[in-house]
Amino acid sequence: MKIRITPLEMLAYSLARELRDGEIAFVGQGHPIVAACLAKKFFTPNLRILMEGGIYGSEPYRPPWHIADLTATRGCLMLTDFAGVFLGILSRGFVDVGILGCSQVDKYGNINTTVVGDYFNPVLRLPGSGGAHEVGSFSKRLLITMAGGRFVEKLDYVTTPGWLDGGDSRRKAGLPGGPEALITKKAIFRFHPETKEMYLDARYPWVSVEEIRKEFPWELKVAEDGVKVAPLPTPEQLRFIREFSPLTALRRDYYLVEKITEKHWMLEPSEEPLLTRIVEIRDEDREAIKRRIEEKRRARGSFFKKEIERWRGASGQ
Amino acid sequence: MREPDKLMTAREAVKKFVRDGCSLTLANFATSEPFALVHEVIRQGKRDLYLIKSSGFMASDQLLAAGCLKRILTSWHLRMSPTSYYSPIDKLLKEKKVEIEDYTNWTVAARLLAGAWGLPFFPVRGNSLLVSDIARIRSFEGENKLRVVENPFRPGEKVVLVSPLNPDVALIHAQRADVNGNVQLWGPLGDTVYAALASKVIIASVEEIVEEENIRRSPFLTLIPEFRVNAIVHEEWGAHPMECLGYYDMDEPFLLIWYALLTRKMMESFMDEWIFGVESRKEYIEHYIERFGMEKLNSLRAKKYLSDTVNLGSTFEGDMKRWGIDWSFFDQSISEMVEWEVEG
Repeated sequence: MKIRITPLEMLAYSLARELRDGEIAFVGQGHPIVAACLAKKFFTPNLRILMEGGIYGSEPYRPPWHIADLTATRGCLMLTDFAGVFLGILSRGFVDVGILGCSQVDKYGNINTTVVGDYFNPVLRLPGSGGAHEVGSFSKRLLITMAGGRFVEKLDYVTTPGWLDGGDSRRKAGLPGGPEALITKKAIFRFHPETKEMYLDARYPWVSVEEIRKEFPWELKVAEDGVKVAPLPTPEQLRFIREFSPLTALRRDYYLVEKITEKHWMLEPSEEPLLTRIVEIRDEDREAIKRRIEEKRRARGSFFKKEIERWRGASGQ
Repeated sequence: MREPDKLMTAREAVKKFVRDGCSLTLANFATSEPFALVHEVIRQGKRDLYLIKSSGFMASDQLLAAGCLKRILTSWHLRMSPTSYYSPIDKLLKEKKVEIEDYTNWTVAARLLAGAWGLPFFPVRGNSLLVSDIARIRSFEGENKLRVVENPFRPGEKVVLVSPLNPDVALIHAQRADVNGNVQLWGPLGDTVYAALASKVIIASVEEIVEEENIRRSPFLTLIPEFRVNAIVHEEWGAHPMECLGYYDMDEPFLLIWYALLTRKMMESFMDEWIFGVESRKEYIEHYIERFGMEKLNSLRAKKYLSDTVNLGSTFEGDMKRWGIDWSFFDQSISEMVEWEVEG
């Protein structure tokens, strides 16, 4: 059997498999919500989705764009506010699993989503904590996803505590829960039960351990019983991901960045995200895929191209 | 106290209540951002504002890009992912034209809640804050960003206290209100109500002005009462391109234009067209129809998903009927009745 899948779809699928039936899951926008809906459909029908804006028991019919997206409210079980979510549910310990994205992560699953470089002299300003700090601190289990970030020895800013300095340091600080898994576009990592150091648990079938190691500034440990190969979704599951969230395959990789002058950068719709990962690829498939990529690229690009040309014209560039 | 004449245009409301240098909050959390009012603030060229906002999305970003802000107290500010394109927050922080103080969503909300309820401070669970840089790295709030005390009831336990925030002005977009200023809103609330009620002045734009009777029929939807509201602005499509529950969906392709603006110049030409190039929300929508067509606008309108009506009724019988009393009761049964001659 062949299957065509993008790294982000694989990320969402791997994340879905980490959720358990009956759990209350604190979910943000992007791949976490896609994963939660996938899980609800195929693995954990009684999963309860909680969204930060105050939506409990949500059953979205399309992926919400933000954490209070009104399309996620239809038919939910409770609409509440921050006190209801952060005090009544989260910090009282009723959230079974939290899911957080990150931009920088260290060996012990501590997370930075605030700034790259010095806080007062940033190289790159990131959005900030939002509710991430509380989710990471008070969920019973924490799952971290990283789609475009970096592994670093030392975080530039500790936004959300993970296992702090490893060992029992998180418990000593009086915090419950802690990171359980980190899922990237290449592999699934877990944390050692004693030392709390991150190790490689499973790789996606098309990624080698060496390729994964390259991203690490420290010597990455691997699972004691050997690195596993992460299971792939079935065609039905993949179809669900695509129908529910066509952008999962594209998000974050949506643009190709191009430097047009010394100062200005230009973004064009990129064909990079459509470079489909193939398992057991045949030559005739490769041709067909190329054609489809070209078609899709044209269709998808037309909106942005038109707009970008318009702005280019309007701003005299 | 209730004041008459709260109904005004966005221009009048912003002119009357938003001063240069004042502190401002956009009360809506993530959804239904008050774009009509925010664009008016930008058009009137307000400067040196201090934005207080738990999570700032596109409306906050436009205030920033238009040069209205000097300080931001927030936990999250819109920053799209590709690392090297133009993002106002990134650029202005690097140029030190704006200062930022980072909190978490709940700590900002707790400060607003303390402000809304008139509390001297609000306690938050501090274990996590103290091991993160949110407590360690402090900007313009300095020592007062948050303070650590020992829990008097559980010696040895550390508690973090945050101080109340009372922004000068709150801008909010809601579903409906009456002319007295009873504002009704529904949907996921985040810190919307805390932010509004913490503020000294509340300017609310609404999709619909309804009769007082409609308000009375669903009083549980009145989250901001008349005696707190200073201005009601009737703005249909007042949150476009964001969504308004029960009225319209988010306009994603339009929203994405803002994200795809790559240079300062492009951003300026966007604002020239959609903010400075129009006089009011009405003109903005007319311009939208001109550019993208009525069909596109209509495609955003919400279909119906009505909540079940619940019975707020009772027997509606007064006490005389309930107790089976007629007028003779007052003459016969009450011993302390005093008879007094009234002149005239």
